[in-house]
Amino acid sequence: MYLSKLIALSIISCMVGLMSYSCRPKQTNPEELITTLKLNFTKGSIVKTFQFKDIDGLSGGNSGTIDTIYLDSNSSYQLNLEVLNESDYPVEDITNEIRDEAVDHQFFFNPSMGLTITQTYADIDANGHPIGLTNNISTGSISSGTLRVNLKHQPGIKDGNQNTGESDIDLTFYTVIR
Amino acid sequence: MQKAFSLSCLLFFFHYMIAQHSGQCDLHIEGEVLEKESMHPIDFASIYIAEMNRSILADENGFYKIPDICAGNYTLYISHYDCMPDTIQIHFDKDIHFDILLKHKNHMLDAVEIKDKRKEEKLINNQNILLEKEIDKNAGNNLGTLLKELPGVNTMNTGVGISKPVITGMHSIRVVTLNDGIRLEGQQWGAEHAPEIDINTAGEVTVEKGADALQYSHEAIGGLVIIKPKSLMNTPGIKGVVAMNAASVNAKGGISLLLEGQFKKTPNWSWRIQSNTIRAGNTKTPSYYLKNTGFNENDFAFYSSYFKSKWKLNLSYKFYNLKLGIFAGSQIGNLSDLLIAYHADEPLDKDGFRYKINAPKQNIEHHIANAEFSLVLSTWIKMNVKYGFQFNKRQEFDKILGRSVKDPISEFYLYSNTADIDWSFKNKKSNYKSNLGLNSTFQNNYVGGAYFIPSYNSQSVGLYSIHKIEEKKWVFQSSVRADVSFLQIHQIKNKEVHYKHQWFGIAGNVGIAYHIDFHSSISISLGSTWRSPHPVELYSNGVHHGTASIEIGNTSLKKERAYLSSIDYTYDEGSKHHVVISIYNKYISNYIYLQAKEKAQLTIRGAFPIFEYKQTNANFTGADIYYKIDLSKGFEVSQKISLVYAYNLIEKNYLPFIPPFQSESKVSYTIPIHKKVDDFKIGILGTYVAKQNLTEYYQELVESPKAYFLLGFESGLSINRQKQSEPISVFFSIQNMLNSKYRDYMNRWRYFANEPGINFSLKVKIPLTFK
Repeated sequence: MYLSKLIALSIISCMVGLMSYSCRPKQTNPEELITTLKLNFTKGSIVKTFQFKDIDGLSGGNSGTIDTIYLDSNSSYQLNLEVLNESDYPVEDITNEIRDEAVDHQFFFNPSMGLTITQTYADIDANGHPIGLTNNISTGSISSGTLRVNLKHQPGIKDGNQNTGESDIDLTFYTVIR
Repeated sequence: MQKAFSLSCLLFFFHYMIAQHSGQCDLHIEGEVLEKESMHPIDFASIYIAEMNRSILADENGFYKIPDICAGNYTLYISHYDCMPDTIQIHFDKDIHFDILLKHKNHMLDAVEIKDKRKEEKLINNQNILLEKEIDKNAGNNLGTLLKELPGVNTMNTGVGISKPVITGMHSIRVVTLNDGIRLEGQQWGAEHAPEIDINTAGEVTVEKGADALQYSHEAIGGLVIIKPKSLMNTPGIKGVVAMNAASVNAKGGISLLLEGQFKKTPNWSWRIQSNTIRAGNTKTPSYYLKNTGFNENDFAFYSSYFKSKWKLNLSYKFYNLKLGIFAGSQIGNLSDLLIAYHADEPLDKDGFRYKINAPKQNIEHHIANAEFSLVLSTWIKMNVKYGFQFNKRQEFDKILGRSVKDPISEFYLYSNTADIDWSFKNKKSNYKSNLGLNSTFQNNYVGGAYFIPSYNSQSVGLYSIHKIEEKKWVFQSSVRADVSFLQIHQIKNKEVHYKHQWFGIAGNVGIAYHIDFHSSISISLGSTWRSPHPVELYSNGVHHGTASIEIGNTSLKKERAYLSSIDYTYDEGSKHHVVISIYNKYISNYIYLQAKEKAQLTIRGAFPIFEYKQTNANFTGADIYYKIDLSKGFEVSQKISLVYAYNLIEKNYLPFIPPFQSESKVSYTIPIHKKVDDFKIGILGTYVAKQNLTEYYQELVESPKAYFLLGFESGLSINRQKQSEPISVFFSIQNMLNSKYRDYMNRWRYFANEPGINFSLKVKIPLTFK
């Protein structure tokens, strides 16, 4: 009686043993590594690009490099943002993914006190909320300070409030208006 | 051990020889009275021999001897105040050894709520135990909440649904959980992974805080939690239980069904099937709902026990499934997100009540299959062989850039095979008992996605030997254990690697207990044990969502060595007065912990504080006190106090994430209202938790929460029906009666959310008997 149970048991244990070698998780790479944010300021035919770049990403251990933004005083610029993953070859452009999921994403721009920068959104998502991939920038008199660029991931709760959701990008650039 | 064994064999042979030459009327029967399920000795059972009109009392170790009897047929009536009476027909014509197996009465479990294990097992230890009645009161709760009933057990929570025990200030890998004899392995997945246990399956839960865990593991530096299922039926028939629970704070509803029995045709075979379903929605704090905090739990269990005079085979399978929403407000990007969330009066991401679980969410599955074979080899030796297979699976779903929410963003699969063998030797004459055994574990951990736990294989083997001598009022115990373990890391974040580690260590302990009088005893235990660094501590590297921090492993970590000591005093006058005082000190060299680096790391997602795994020498000192006083006329007062200090001897500061001082008082009153209603009891509870102000400001992301006081109410009763049926029991309670707004230091969501508000909960248990 118990012998047959033992045999049944050993068969079951062999089966689960086999299962443990065959049933494994899919090897997907879920982390969308964002390594680079490019700020392209266009005035007439001149394009000035300032960037943050951290090739080894969030957990790489090395801090990224960040440019200082220099802009002309009393000028108007168009600002286009580019978000890239440069850790892979070919370089992956994440900008379009943000555009595809625009209803859940918004860029916010926070100039420090005294920095003479005014930003207005020049794009809009399906729900009529701004995205911030394309913007109009106007500068005032000579000044310096910081400009915070904050991309918020706000699934289902995007309503223009910067305080909700999760920061996918949060960078503060030292900025000089000259 | 070997000596004792050969001595035992010799003695046995000697007895046998003498018996061969005995006369007709000077034969004797001797043996032990044992509890059928646990095979533990039962003290002072009475044995009545009808044909001789003689009665004999077994001694405190269950040993009995009936001398000077003639050959023939006899009827033995065995009775014991704790057990079901039994009648045995026996024929003999020579001296025999005959063990009597009795079954515990069920209602015995209701007699006392919290009791020291000493009386049952006479071990030297400082363990505490929860019995069926306490477990029923917690139906629908998780293991952490249940264990909080015991003095000295705190919980560490990740929001509402995830709760795990903290014992002597330690948790996760330093607290070993055994469910039905099998060690739960998923605890390696970190502080936010709760033990996968349906508490409805538990019949008895024991917590050990000392060094007495060496039979099971050398890693239980903090403590050991032992969960045992209720005993299976040992008389023919079919019984069932329907248990329901409901709670208002998250509109939780649960139903648990149990069916068990023994068929007349197969009296040696007992079985049980059990299922449990719980649904809960968003939890309400005093002023708002926590968005996406619902959960669904579905469990199933099957037990089978086949019993013959010399051996027993237990088979069981348990399945646990939890689908859990992750509070939307806990998904934060970086330190400034965390500070915004912390300073907001209410979470900015709000919702009303709903049951639906959206991303971010987790799906946890756990399967355990267990086979246990016990064999009585001789009067001196019992053997127990166990095999366990476990499969843990956890999937995390989140809405992230460029990925469908239907696919998990990370998955962990852990396969564990454990094989254990234990021999127990017993010499009744000298009250000497010993165990010799082997534990082995083989594991494969696979990680899909970019989580910071590596994929690895590990193998470990441990050999232990435990000795115990009882001498009048004294009990002496010593144990020694040697372990060797191997670890191969084969993948970190989709990158193949080949790292190998190997550890060897010895653990041991000695203990002395003295029974001062019938009610009180004092015991001292000293020991040393160790644990090897876990793959997470060695190789983690990544962002920890929910705490907005980067955790970095350290491959040069050495093994932890702990020196444990404790003094315990117990006074137990049955259900009247009860005092348990436990004082402990645990010195741990190379204690592994997360230390914040001074400089935050600037990433594209903003600034993150960096926590590195480091080692230090730490000292944990604490005391747990429980007392209950019967004031007569149905009034009863009880109090639990626990206090722990964990000091970092190198950095010269207190370790963070250690429970602050807490005290719980209860006044209860038993009202006699009707002869059919038993135990109608009402009680008021007051819980005070102090502010944890031992840590320095730079050790915490935000200030630790204020002290708080909570008021609770509970009442329970049981309704007697016909004589054969077990009573229906009803338990009603109110938690946080004043609807206080508070945050708890041991909750990892204390940065973003308040604790739940007022909660009404009701549990009903209806036992069924089928004819």
